[in-house]
Amino acid sequence: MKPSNQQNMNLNQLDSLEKEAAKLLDQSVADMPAELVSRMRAAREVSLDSISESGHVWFKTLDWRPTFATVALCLLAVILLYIPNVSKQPEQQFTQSWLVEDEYLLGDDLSLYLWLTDTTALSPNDEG
Amino acid sequence: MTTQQRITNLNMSTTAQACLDKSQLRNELDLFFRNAQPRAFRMLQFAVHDEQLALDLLQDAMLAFVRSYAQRPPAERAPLFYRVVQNRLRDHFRRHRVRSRWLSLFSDMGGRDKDDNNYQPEAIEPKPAAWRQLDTQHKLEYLDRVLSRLGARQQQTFLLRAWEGLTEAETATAMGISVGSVKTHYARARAALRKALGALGMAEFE
Repeated sequence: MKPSNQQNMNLNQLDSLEKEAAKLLDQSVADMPAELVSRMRAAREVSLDSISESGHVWFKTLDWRPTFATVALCLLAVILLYIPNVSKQPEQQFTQSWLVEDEYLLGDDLSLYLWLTDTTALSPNDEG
Repeated sequence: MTTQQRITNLNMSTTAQACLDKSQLRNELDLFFRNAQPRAFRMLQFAVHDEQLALDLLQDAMLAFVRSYAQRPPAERAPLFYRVVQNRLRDHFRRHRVRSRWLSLFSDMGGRDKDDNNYQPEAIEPKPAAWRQLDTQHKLEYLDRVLSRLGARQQQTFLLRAWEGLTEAETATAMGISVGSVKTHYARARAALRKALGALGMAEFE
């Protein structure tokens, strides 16, 4: 229900009512008991202290940091557990190539083979 | 000056600036709250009729306001603050309604009186005293009664417009309703006040 014409007319007449009401309400605020004022001051301090605790943008990200860290750790664990071949393949390739290269070098140096044979023949107990 | 020293100086100046900004922001908000907090408290008190509850709701609203809207320009602070306050009030009434349903269910089962949870304030008792002859305390008492008797939206609209001095658009933002609704609630509140206070012999308001 919208205000009637009579009510609209009254809107212009009731300025004094509003002023009187505002004056009384201001007075009620000014006359607040000291205990209540003290409690409100304490409440204000608590609210303002939260500026230094939380305040700005970093507060919003702070809540998410543990979440992001947990998700990152889970992802890392999944990668390490379920994709082991990816990390081992290059290592194996490197070992194989190193062995091939070493065999080639050893094969090329016959005097080294002879020396190794002599050494193992002289001290068989050292191997066991 | 080495690059390392420049970086250190830059970091120190950035930190000092941040501390200064924070201190300045705190001072600004302190000034804002000094003015707005008692008014918001009275508005909540009119709505919930309980000093402790009004203080709790106000504390929640202030914390939420600081966390979410502290960085907003000063001109936007009042409507946003009262919006947070009104949201807290609405949440309270919603919880109260749900609780009342459960309580009324249990009290029905227990055979208790249904009016135990009635949230309506007591009716006004008009006295044939002329307004001008009353002292401030009695005038305030009458006004409290009349405002408490209004519906929550009419009451809050009247307080935000007539006391806090918000515009219709700001009041609409604060209350989360349309400007048209603000006009309607405000007109009804004024009519109700005029009628109620007129009954108390306030000829100058009739």
